[in-house]
Amino acid sequence: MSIDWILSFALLGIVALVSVYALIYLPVQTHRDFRRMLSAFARTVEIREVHTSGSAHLRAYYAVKIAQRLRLPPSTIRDIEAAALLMEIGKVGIPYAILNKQAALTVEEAEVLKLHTMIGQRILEQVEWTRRLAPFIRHHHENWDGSGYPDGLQGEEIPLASRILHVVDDFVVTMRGKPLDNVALRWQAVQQMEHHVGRKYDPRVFEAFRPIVRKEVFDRINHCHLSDA
Amino acid sequence: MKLFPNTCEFVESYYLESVVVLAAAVILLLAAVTSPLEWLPWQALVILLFAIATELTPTPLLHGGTTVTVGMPVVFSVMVLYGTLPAVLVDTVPTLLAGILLRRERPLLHRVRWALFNASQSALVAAAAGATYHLLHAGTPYVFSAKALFALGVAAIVYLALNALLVSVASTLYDRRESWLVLWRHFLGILLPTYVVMVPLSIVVISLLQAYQLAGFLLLAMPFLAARECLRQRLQQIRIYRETIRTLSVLVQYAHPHTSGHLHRASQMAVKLAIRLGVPARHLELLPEAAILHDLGKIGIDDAVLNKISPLTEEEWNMIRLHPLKGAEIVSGIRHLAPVALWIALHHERPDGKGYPFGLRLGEIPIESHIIAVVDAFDAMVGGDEKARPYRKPKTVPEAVAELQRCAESQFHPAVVGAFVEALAAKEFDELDETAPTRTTSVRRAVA
Repeated sequence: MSIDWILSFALLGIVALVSVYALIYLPVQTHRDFRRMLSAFARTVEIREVHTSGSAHLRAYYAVKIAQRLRLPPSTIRDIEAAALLMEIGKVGIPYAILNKQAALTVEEAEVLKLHTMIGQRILEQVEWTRRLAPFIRHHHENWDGSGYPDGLQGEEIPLASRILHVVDDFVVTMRGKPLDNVALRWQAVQQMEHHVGRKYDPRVFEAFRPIVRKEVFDRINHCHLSDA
Repeated sequence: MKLFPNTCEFVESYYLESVVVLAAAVILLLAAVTSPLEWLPWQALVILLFAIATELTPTPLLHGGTTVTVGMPVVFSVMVLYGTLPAVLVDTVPTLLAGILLRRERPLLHRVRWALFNASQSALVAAAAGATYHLLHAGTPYVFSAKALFALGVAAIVYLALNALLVSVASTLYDRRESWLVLWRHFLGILLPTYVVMVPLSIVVISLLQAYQLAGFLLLAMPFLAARECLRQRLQQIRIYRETIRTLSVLVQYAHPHTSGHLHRASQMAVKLAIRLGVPARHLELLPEAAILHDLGKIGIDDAVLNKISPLTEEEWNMIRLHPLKGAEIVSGIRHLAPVALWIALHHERPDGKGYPFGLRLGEIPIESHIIAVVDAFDAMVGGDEKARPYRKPKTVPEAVAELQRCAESQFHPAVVGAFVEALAAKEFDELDETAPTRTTSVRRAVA
């Protein structure tokens, strides 16, 4: 084999290696970095609000499932996932005592807690890449009939992402402190939420959400049945 | 590498735009009256398509809006081998298409104007460079000779100077803040170093094209594309990293009402101390982050306890003693910040073993944690974070230094306190910047 061939093969090999590095390894690493960053912010809130460990990832999981069922474009789904991980970030500005109070909140305390939507919006507006998520966070406690806060928006005025986050948030809060693998409790939570469809939740979003939990419940029962046999 | 103005609004001042567009139109009209097959060989057409493809998949670099394009070596090789007009096309058409088709978030009219201006100035610049080259090296085909290299060099200088001139005049017409001469010099300063690389690269591309035709060009295009992709991914990672720090430093303000001036002063003092103490360079660049984020864990502490003026109970102390670990927990998942998590976790350890959370002793604590402890204590004592401790009267600088020296060995690392005093005597802390460093670039740069 002549020296030219060896050189050509060496060059080709280098190009192939660099391409694999650039097209496969680096994108995976970048994506992982991004996920870790979002997790760091989610952890920040979980450190402040006790007994909420892991709830941000649960929110993100259901938010993505709903968004997929609604057939939203992938870029929107990514935004919704990030917003679900960041939605409670405003709670770093809420006094610790109110955030972790065991007893029921007084009216004033509840008003203070409501500020977390606006604080979250303000935090996200200060950083370039999260700026477009800020309105989603601001409106994630708006109700479908206009009775929510902070702006009392109604129906389609509320960003779709916020309507999804609202459903997901309420589900996670209902499940808080309960064993998550208990299918009966999970279905009970969905049934409790069902009373509020059209009042608190967008019917379309809830229609997408219900089958997700139902499928999980079914899968689990099926799985137990099979493994017992 | 090629300059483009970074706003499309500047073309509100129509004056220069119309001149540039008219001139470019004349050049293209001259091209159109002759038969395309005469002046556009198929090799140049392939290169043009390649340039369009790369230009339409741009590589955004950080926030400045800088992009990586094929740029000068390709334009120059087409100019030398196939003539001026194909080079004008290779320089113009991709710019025009990319300007209109990309950045969809902007209004269409702005994009069209912006692309028109940039394409026109590209046409002018390429035409001028081509005319220069063919004037100096008339008629004869390119060979690797001194005469050809001289012509190529002069053409590159024309390309560079005219590009910078057009952009600087346009920028001046837009905001009239600086004279065009100052801007021109500024742009030349940015561009000149890259031309030192670009001109030899152009010669390589020309030789490859001559020897192996398009196969030679593709041989170079493949590594170029791969390298570009590497660069893009790396920059993306840096961007994510920077934004993480930005967001976390916003959150720190909620954790503990430091004034941001305190945090930025503390981080700059920490770096100066670290340089004096000979901290390795890769730790040096993480130290500002650590200094800014060191109290992040206070997010997880009851604010009533943090702000309490009366003495704390044992239980409350135990809670406070957890804040370094809570801060480390938040930061620990971020790949670039792995050492920082350790420094944050240990920034309340003391040489005499009475610190928290673990009660480590002198040799067991990283020097970076000691540095953070000293600068934080000093700036707090002289009232740098008056918002945080409203009930305490700030000390004067000599008082604070005396306090540091009194606590050296017990609370602070003696060597760090020593270095601090030296740095203070050398007036290193006199010109600290209170605001976060902001980078403003007035140009959009295109790296070839």
